[in-house]
Amino acid sequence: MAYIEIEGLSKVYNVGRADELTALADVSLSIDSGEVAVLTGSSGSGKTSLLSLIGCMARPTQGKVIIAGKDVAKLPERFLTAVRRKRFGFIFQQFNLIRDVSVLENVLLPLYPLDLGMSAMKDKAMPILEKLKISHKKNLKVKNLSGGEQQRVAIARALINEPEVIIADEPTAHLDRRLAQEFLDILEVLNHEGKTIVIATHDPFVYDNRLVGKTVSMRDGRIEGVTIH
Amino acid sequence: MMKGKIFFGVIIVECVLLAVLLIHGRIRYHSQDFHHLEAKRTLVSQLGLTDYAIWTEARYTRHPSQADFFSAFQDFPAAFEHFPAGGIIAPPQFLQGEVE
Amino acid sequence: MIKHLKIIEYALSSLLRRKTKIIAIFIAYTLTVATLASVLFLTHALKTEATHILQGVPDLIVQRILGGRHDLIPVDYAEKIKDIFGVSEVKPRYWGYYYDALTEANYTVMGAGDAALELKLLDGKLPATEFECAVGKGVAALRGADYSNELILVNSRNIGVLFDVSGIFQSDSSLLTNDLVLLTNEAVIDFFGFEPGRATDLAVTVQNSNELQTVAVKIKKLFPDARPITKRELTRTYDMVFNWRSGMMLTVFCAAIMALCIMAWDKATGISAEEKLEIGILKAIGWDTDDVLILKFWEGVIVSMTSFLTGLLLSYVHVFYFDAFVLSTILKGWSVLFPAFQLTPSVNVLHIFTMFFLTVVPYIASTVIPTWKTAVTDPESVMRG
Repeated sequence: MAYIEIEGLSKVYNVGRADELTALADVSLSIDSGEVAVLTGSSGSGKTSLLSLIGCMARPTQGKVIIAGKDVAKLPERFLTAVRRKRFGFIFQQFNLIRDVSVLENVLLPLYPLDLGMSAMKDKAMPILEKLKISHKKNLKVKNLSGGEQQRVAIARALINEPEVIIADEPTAHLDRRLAQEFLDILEVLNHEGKTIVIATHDPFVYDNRLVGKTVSMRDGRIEGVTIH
Repeated sequence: MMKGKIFFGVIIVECVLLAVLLIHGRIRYHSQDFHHLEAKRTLVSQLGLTDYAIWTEARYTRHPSQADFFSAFQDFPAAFEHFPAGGIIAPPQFLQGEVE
Repeated sequence: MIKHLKIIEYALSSLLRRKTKIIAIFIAYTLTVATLASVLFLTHALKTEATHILQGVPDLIVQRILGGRHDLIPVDYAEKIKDIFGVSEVKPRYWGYYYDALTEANYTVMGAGDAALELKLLDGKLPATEFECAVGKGVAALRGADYSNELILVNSRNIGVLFDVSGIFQSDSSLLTNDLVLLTNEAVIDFFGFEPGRATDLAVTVQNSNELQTVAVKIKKLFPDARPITKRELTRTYDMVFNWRSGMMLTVFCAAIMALCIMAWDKATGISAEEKLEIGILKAIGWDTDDVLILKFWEGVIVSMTSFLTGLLLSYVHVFYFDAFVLSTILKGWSVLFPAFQLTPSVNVLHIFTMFFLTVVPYIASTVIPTWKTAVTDPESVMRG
């Protein structure tokens, strides 16, 4: 059964105002558990909107977002947060790390609101940092790291809650080829561990990768075509 | 949780300091009660003093309790009351309608 | 609980990132609280001391009012007042002001009457003869009387009179005696050239303090030109003088609150793009709106509590250990002779709570409320960078 199921989804911004904008119109899609899906399309095609709806970061104007058999579109905010925390790990285009705070604190941040002791939190974080080879820099401030290192911190943060789905928005936009390859290698490992991965990108280096199981090309808020590799 | 510990440490130290100061103040207050307050009271009753000697610039500031209605206006009724102390002290109570 | 501890930890890291801003707020906040608290501590201490000390004032002072002004009172009023039931003693008081052109200061010249010659807070003796005087510490210092043991004052006939200084009041009593020049009653009459048979006012002792008011009314009836001032009115004056709502106290208070409001307003309206992004990130990675608000609440508590406590400590030390040296220059006004305060520490806990509610609470509110608006919106915006 599909892990993520989207039915007749649309998202309209500034409803009823002069600057009304339809970001998504009647989109339906399903992504299986353990699948690597890529959303492609030029900027403004609705990739990011779709990604944030999948990730429970925003609510659709219409339609259903079914995660693990449950429609989350109408859930109140509190539950949406819980779903987001439990099931998703996010990697943003700008990394969105807190720049003046240490690597370790950044990675631990998603765990702060949980009833988990500091040492238990560290126990969870250290293996991830080691796996991503940045444990030696855990006490450095993020702003002192290189782009590639920052991305690995962002990945570590996305993994700390042991999410089932990794959502990445233009993850390679700020990386050179070598780092982009490194990133894909990491994703491959994660995918082997059973994580579902959804990436929005227009970087052919990513969507042409052998890892990708499904490519969804988008245009003007609609799905143009779905290719299964 | 290093920073948190430091913060709580600071808060606790400040609270303790404040408590110590307040208690010390209480102790000083009571010890002075015996030594000076009593002596000052004797001074006041022996010499018939009525006011604090804080502001000596005008009679309504030197002896607020003895001042008549108009002393704040010094020499003629339209004079501005112009000593800074006049801004600190409240007007005499009989002008505030609190005469018994 | 553990969640709060962790959020406090993060709040601290978060505050440390904005070090300069936070230090600036801390300093401004601390100074506001310190100023406010200093004023309150000082006035409260003066008030408390006054109510204790002024227990010894005469039960009733009878002045004579002429043309709305204080005038000399005929001493023979005393005879008739003495006959009023309940009055045990009437003593004429002789006192007046003396402007000393040499030091440009005002002294209070007073007749010592029949006070005991030796007093605990007096080094030496009260004047026993017409050529002796006892002076307050301020006068002594200003005129160098503590070295020369002499004081020359110019009397009403413009003749310099030389007095031997027989005693100097100890600095502990400065709040009461700083500007005093005590002479014998006769010397005061002669010095000011009072008309014979006139005194400055009359001090009346009443046996039963409950009858004070009745006696005052009787005196007023007997002598329509008299103005009786009761002991209660006297002590109440000091309650009023140092009422923290009065005059400058109010001004200082308002200014301080205003400053704090400006700061709070600036914070409230100035939630920066950076802060917004941070809130968005926190929400995106699984923080609830509540969690974000808790974070901001603790940020507010951390800043305001440390500043509040530091301000209180500073003001306490300033007022009671350093004799309010900063404030006294403001209080001093145009006084040339200003007493050195040595205040008996006394603090009104209610004042501390009032300050707490007027400074800490608005600050916390102003950190939490603007965040709330940002925190309830969907975190989607961070996706767009």
